[in-house]
Order: sequence, then C-alpha cells, then structure tokens
Amino acid sequence: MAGRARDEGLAFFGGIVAGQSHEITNVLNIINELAGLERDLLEGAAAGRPVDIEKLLEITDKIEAQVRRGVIIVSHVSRFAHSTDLPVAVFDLGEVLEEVFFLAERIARLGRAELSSELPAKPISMEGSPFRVQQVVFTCIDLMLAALSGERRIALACRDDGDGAEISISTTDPIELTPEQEARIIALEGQLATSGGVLVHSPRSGGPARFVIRLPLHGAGPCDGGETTTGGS
Amino acid sequence: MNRLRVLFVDDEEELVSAVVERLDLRGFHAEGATSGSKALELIASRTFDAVVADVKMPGLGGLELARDLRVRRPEVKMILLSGHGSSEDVEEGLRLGVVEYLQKPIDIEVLVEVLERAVAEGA
Repeated sequence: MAGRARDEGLAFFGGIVAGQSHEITNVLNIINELAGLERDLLEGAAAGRPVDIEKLLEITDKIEAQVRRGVIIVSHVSRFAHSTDLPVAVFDLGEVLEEVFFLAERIARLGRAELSSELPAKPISMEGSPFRVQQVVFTCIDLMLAALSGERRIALACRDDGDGAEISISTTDPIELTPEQEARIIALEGQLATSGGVLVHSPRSGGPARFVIRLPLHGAGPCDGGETTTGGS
Repeated sequence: MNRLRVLFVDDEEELVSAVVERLDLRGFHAEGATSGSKALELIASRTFDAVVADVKMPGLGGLELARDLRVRRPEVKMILLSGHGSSEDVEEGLRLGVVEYLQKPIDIEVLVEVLERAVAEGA
C-alpha cells in the first residue's frame, strides 16, 4: 500500500508539472510571436512604412502581460513543488486549496467545464501533508470532470467544522463512474482513513454528485501507509 | 496574384491575433479562430486554401478538425502545430491527410514556406 501510494503521488506530481509546463510554453510561444510582430513592424518602419507607435506600445503591453502570467504560473508550480518538502507540516488549508484550485482550473478549461470555489475567509491551521491534501482534492476534481455530463460545473468549497475541516467537491449534474474510477475512489478512501480522514462519495451512481473530504486538524492528508497519525474525532 | 487564404486556429487568443497579423504582413489573407468549433463555422461560410491548427485545444482539437476537413473540404490543406510531437499524433495526422506537422514555437518564415508549398502542390 505504501508503494502504491508513493507511485500515485509521483504520477500526480508528474502530471501537474507536465500540465503547468505546457502552460508556461504557451506563454513563451505568445511572447515569441508578439516579439516577432514587433520586429516585423520595426523592419517595415526601417523600410519606409509609417510607424504606428500606439500599436508598438500595445504589443509591448501584451508582452508584459504574458510575462506576468508566466511569473504567476511559475510561482504556483514552485509552491506546489515545495509542498513535498516535509512529510508533515503545519499549513493553512485555505491556502492549500487555493493552490489546488489554480492547478485544477487548467484541467477544467481543457475539459470545457467551469470550476468555482468558496474558500474560508479565516485560516484553518492544520498539521499534516499539504501535498497529499492537494492530491486527494485534485484527484476528486479530476474524477468528477472525467465522469461529468450535462452542464459541466464543479464547485469546490471548504468549511471549518470545529475539530477539522470539511472539503466538498460537487456538481449539480449526474456523474457515472467507471469501475476504474470507483477503484480510485476506494483507494483514496483507504489512504485518507490511515490518517483519520474520511472521503464520502454521494450518491454513488446517477444524480448530482458530491465528494466530501473530512480532514482532522492533525494528520491531515493520507500518509504513505507507514506510521498512522490519528487526529480528530 | 491572388492572396492565399489561411485560417489559423489556436485556443490562445493573443497567439492567433499575432500570427494572423504577421501572415497578413507577408501577403496572406489570414483569419483566426480560437477554437475548433469556431474554425468549423468559418470553414463552412468562407473559402480557405489552408488551415493551420494546434493539435491540443479544449473541445475540438486539431486532429478532429483534420478529420472533419477531409470529409467536407478535402481540397483545403491542413497543417498541424504541436508543442509535444507525439508520434501517435503525427501518424494519425498523416493518415488524415495533414500535409505538415510543425513544432511550436512557430518560425513564421518556415510556416510561410510550408503554406506556399502546400497550396502550390495542390494546385
């Protein structure tokens, strides 16, 4: 079980990095074309064509906007990478879920779905693995996206329930899970249980769907099947 | 000389607008679309000599577009752009009659050369 959890963690990590690398490449491609267009216009000006200063400034603004976009993506990737620094850390669940939301927006966009969030205004301080929390939440969003039909809207929400937190990933539309997807959920349920967490999927087939993840304040995030950290009630 | 009519398709709007403008500066009549479905609408209502499309787009991607073009507009030359160059995509594209596969970032002079050659060979 420990080996499988580690393999799944690596696959999740690799998938995120590959996806965000693609986004960074998109930014660089756009900068490449905008710089090329600027060169075309300047060369045209050197050959006697009228110079459109406003146009050149507009292109410069667009290049700067793409650089800002790239910086945002890189900072999120860096935060994601650093979420693996320690197997157990103290973290703000709201901040971790903001990271998941940013990372999941890409797969939602590619899947032509809309992802919304309602995250806590106040910090929820937890102790555990922020990486594993991200993995569980992202996997639930990914599974829901793959199984969605109809309107394709997913909502991510979180609330402090006193001795832990409750995260929900829900849609108003029905989902039908394949046996492989059901198996992934069962595996996630098992992993969460090792650290006192709970994953509930309702309803299990047909009808609007909801994943509810309950995390204890201590030991949040499934562990690798080693020493169990218990927490919460 | 008639200007070659090119449709450029990519889900990144800024990329589309820059490439269309650069192709216009090089003597093409270029238009852009930011999705495969918008591209199909334009293809249905206008005449193009060539379509250049990104393989990976939300919804209808470049390969699906190539499949559709092959049926509805077999005379239109299709060029695909990819950031990854998966060999399966390339093989599938060639089976669908894609004339060329180009890697991103785009070299505009290479794109121009490929477009002119593709349309000339089909004339």
